[in-house]
Amino acid sequence: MSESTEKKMVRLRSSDGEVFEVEESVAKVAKTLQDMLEEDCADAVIPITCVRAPILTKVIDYCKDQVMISSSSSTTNNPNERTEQERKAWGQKFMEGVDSSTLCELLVASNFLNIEGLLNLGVDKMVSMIQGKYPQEIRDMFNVVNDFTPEEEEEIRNQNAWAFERDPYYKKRSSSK
Amino acid sequence: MEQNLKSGIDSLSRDRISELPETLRLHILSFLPTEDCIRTSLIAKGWRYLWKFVSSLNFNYSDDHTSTALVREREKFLNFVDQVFMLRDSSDLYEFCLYYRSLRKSLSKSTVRSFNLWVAVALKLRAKKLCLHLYPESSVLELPSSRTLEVLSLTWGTINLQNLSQLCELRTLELVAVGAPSESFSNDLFSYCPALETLRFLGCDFSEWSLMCISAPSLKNIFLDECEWDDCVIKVSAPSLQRLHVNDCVWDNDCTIEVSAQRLNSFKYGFRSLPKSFVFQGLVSVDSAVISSLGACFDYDDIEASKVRFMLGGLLNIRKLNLDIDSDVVFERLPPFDCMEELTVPLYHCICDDYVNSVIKFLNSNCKMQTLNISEFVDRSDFHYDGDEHCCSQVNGRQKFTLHLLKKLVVKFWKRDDKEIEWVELLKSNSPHLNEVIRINSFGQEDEEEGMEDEEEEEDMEDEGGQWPG
Repeated sequence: MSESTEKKMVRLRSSDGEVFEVEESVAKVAKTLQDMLEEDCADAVIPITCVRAPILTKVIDYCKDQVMISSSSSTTNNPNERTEQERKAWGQKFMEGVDSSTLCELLVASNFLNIEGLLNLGVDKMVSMIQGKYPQEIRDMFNVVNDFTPEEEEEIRNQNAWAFERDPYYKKRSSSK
Repeated sequence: MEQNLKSGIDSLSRDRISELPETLRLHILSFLPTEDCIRTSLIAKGWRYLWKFVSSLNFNYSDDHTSTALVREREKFLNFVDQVFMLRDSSDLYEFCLYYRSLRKSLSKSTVRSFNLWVAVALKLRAKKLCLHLYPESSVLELPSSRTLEVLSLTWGTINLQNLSQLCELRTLELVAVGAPSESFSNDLFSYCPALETLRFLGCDFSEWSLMCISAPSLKNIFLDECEWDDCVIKVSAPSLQRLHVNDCVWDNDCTIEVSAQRLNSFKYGFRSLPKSFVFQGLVSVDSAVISSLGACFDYDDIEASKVRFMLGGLLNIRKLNLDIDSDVVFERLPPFDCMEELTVPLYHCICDDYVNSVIKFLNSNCKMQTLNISEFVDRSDFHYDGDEHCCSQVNGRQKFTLHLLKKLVVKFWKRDDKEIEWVELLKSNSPHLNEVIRINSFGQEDEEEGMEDEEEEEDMEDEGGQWPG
């Protein structure tokens, strides 16, 4: 927490060429980077080829937070440890305002970099966006082009009629109890 | 930030969801109810067959009581699930969950037959997790033996509990009831589950039971949530038990809990009522305990305070105590704890100085106490601690108490205001050895940190500890 001795820095380059300098501990939140750093095969700038700068910024924000909550001045008691409630609130705040396109990019990034916590946040958000929606609504949300012919569409609908016929907005989805 | 994120050249109009790697899309689909999952097959060609490879099946049906064609609706649902099982790829299944609520008094034979079939297929596909929540309850299904099943969540009566012994890999068992369990289990039932680690009862009404024994060789966690007992002896005997969490249970008349668990590490007890007595045997390993009253205005009389005292009295080695009870009577009754290092208290609205006094006294009577956590300031409009006339006690001056032992203060703020800051200042100015103050905001982030320079405390404190009346 307090100013420790000089911190080792790591440099990351996004797909669009921007270079980010972060503390090693921050980079190591990403398992993929951790492995690279531990095998010492990352001396200069690590290229993160599938992640654009604005997304990488967000990813780094996440990693910084993880470092903050996992580090602690004493081993017995970590004041930054979050309760379930706080974790949820924090996660919600972090994902707030993330649009569908950004969400997809975040998912790709956290998947590639192997950051489980961020991946889970993204998946949760994605699930809540898709659940209870009709195909057309999902297409609109994510700019998906419908490449089915009307006949094909009809065939699929008939095959699993039950999944399509009920209006999801009026269906009560009672949770487990 | 948002603008910045959007600023990619083509990011706005690109179909990014279909570009996600297939494994990732499958992962996302596995969290959706199967119905939604299948609906995605119509998004575009790249999605058409994806659902067949999803490793979890999750069905949810309940009778719509306004419908006039219930029989047909039920039939349709059964056909739908049948079809999903048939059309699905034959790859391994991770979980099969079925929530089924029918208005019938009991399930029809054909329905039960379908359920049995699905369960059999799911287990054949090496399912690791099975949730069967069926209403009406007590619709006994056949449970084939399984070497893969690890998690089982059931409404009471779904299977004959004696069959549990056929599940050699079962690690987690959750039993849910909306009322009284339709059958009892024998005392040694769980002894036959060699791998069972977690046991949870939810919403069960055990009022008719006079004795309940839970013992299992490898049981690590017991969760009792929203259950009810009446005049019952509950015996827990588990050599490997690490966690015992009791939440919002009701104890009528003379209930007793006997716990014998040498490795028990964490004890949580959230309550509106307390059983008559706790008998804790050999709970030498309990490191942390959380005791919280769930009733907002729980009235503590001497009897209740004694019960809490008695309960905690059996946990003499605890290092961390979270006592979420705003009653000075309870604090007054607590014995000193030799190992306690950390106390967490809430500050609720009805606190008066008597409470603060009793906390201070308690802090000073435990010789290793170093850390005080204060969490969730909700509303302290009646909270006067600075010489106000409403004060009912003697703490009304900043010099009147000293926290001799306190080294660390952690304050979890939900909102900051002058009162909170004032209160922290008060504690700070009366704790000569305090060297760390940490404030955390409602998102669990550290607000600001203060290191205090005066550090000449340390060793000599231990000897003095315990002698300060507060």
